[in-house]
Amino acid sequence: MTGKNLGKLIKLHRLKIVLITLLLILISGVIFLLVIGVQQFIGLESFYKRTTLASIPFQMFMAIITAIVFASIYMSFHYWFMFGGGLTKIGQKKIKTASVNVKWSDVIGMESAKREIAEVISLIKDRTQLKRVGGKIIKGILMVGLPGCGKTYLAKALATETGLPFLATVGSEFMGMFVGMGAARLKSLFKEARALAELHGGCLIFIDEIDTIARPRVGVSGLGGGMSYNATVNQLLTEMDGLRQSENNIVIIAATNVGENELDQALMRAGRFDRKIYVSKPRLEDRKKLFEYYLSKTQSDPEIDSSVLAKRTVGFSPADIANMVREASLIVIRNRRGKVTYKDLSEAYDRVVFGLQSQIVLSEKEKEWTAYHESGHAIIAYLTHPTDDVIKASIIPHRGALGYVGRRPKEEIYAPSREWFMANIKTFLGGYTAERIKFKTTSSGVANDFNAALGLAHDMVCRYGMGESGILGNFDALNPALPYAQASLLSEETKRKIDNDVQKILTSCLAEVSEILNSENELLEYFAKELLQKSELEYDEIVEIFKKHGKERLESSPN
Amino acid sequence: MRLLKYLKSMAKNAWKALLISFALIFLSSCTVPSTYSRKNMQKAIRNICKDEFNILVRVRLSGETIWVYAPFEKLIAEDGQWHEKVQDAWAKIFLALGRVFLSMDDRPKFYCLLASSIKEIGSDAYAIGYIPDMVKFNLGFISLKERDRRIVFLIFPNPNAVGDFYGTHIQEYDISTGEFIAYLVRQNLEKKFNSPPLNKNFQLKKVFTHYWINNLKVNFDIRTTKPQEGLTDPFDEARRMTKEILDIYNSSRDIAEIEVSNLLTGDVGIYTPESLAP
Repeated sequence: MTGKNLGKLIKLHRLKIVLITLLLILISGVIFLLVIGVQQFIGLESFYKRTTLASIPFQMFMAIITAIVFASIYMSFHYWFMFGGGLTKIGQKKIKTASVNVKWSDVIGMESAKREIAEVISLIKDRTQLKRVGGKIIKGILMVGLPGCGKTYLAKALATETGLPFLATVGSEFMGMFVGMGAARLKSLFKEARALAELHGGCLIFIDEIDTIARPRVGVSGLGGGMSYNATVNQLLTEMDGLRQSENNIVIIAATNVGENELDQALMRAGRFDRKIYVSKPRLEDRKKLFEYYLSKTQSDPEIDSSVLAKRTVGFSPADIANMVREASLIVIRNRRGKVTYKDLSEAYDRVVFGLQSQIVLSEKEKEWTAYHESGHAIIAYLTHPTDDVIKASIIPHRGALGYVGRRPKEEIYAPSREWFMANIKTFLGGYTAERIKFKTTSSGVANDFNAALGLAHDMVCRYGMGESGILGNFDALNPALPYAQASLLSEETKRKIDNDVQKILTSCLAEVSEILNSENELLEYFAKELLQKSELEYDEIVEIFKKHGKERLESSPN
Repeated sequence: MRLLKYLKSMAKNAWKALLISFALIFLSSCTVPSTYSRKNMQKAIRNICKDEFNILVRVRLSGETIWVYAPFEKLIAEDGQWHEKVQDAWAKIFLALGRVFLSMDDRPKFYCLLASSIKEIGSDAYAIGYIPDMVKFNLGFISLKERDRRIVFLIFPNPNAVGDFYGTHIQEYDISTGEFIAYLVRQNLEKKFNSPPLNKNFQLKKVFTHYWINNLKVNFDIRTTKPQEGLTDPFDEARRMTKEILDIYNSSRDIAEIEVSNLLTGDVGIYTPESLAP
């Protein structure tokens, strides 16, 4: 062997050489010390020898006791790390199937989502049939939907129905303060799921708010920022469809509020989240069933018509409906009555929609100001809005607002028209205009209205091509927050046109609102005074006021 | 299920560890031969004293008594106390004796440490002790005070000691248990009545103890100088102290009869070790 080769060999096995040398030094040292110890021991007088030897059994006994104690601790930790998930398991909860106990019949509404889930259940339950046909088990189900639409509830029902172990966790659980903690936790979660799948023939993993760990992977900064996040996403990808030889009956159910296009595309491909279930807000019939279901679980007046409630609660999620019935029950308990009545539900509706009254005490002047402001909103909404009824007007502060006008669409709107947007903008500007007409000046109370109006006008121009200049395109595509965005493609001229169009919409709306309110000054004065006097006006009272002034509600257009 | 498998595998390893432990315990229980025996103990004491403390001693074994002779220029200092050198040497010799006795199986019964003043008028000082007491002290079973209480200290003027560097004037003999107890009873009675608080009320004129063939005689002349109610009765005290010492050494085999006599009053009592307690 040449010197060059020897050098290469040393370089190759450098670490081993160092370690072996250190080991040899250590062993030599131990032998040296042992020899010295034995020599010293031999030189001892018999009394000291005997004392030393006599103490050995006791020392050994103590050592055994200590070893047993430490071994128990070690074994507990070892077992915890090996099978219990270790540190990565902290905060992660395992829900036993029995404890979930949400029956399929308890899942009310969301019929289309239920149909899809039912198919998945049959696939999970009947794997043999699936294998016989040569199909593969569904690996992941992604449930997309607005908050409170029952995604978690569906997942629980799925767990109960399949009778499989159910590991539930939240995306944020995988965000640790240490790099790699998220990936380790995921690994641990899937390890446990595989063990459970082997024992029980399958396992369901439910990851709520998966967007926390499923957004597109990010660039790694100089300090390594983003590395941990990317590692977590990569681990999730690997666990779902990696290089594993054996396949287990593990189904990952994930829920998110964000659109699937905002998640990492690698997760969306077939073999990972195979099935996407869109859980939308309940429709009229679903809401009716939900009310019937929740009211059946409380002591309620049998006269309550669920279909009326369903009509009143357009846009409500199942959680909102549950909350409304719960609030009604609380009102009943507070008033020491036995049954939930329609009036209780109506009061609960206000609480859910408008929130609890705040403790702000308004001066008389501010009350008057607010009354005119809200009257402006109510009159414009009543006279111009194609879909929304004005159901309430109030100058009792709620949720930080000094007053409010409650509106409610008659039915769900899935594709609002230009008129709908314009009517909304006009309604928002109604408060400002009313202040200007009555007090010849305006207040800061218009801030939120302007915010909403500007947002809508901007959407009309930048997303729906409703601007006067004829600019087309959804400029969300150029949003700098998106990875494929090219914000620089937006020219200065386009920006100017957008600004002009937005302002034109706002000014045209303002002009129309001013015209209406100026011509209906008598109505404005009457409405405001009534509101000032009663503080709150209900739907019937509002309709009565308008009827008194010979005004009929605008007939609904398609939307 | 998994836990069971895991525990089984761990138990296998634990079993191996336990076997090794028991083997080690077995090995450690094997006997270690004693370092010193009656054959080499004299030499060992001499060597330890010489090599480690630089003290020259003559050691002789007579029956069950080991005699250690150490010559000094002076035993008593100007202030009437033991000379510092003597105290230091005795402490070191005690250490050497302790070491040897600890590492010895067949120990003698008594030791007699003899220090002689070989200049001027000449005198001999004896410290006679029971070897198991020394072992107990070294093992921490009895205190220093208790050990000292169990050592007989005697000092006699002896002109024969002058110039006797090798201790040829000493006639070593085997001290018997009875004799040792007789010395100890006398010493402790003297100490008791010559020390506060009893020395305020009593004057000790004479204490004489004698042992001869299973018979121990305790004669004393202790006079009451300041009568006081509830004062200790010297006769009872002599009985109590004798009984206490006999019990320490469990010497009923050596002493069968004890005669206690008050020379002042003429009271005499003859007791067995069992009936001695007042």
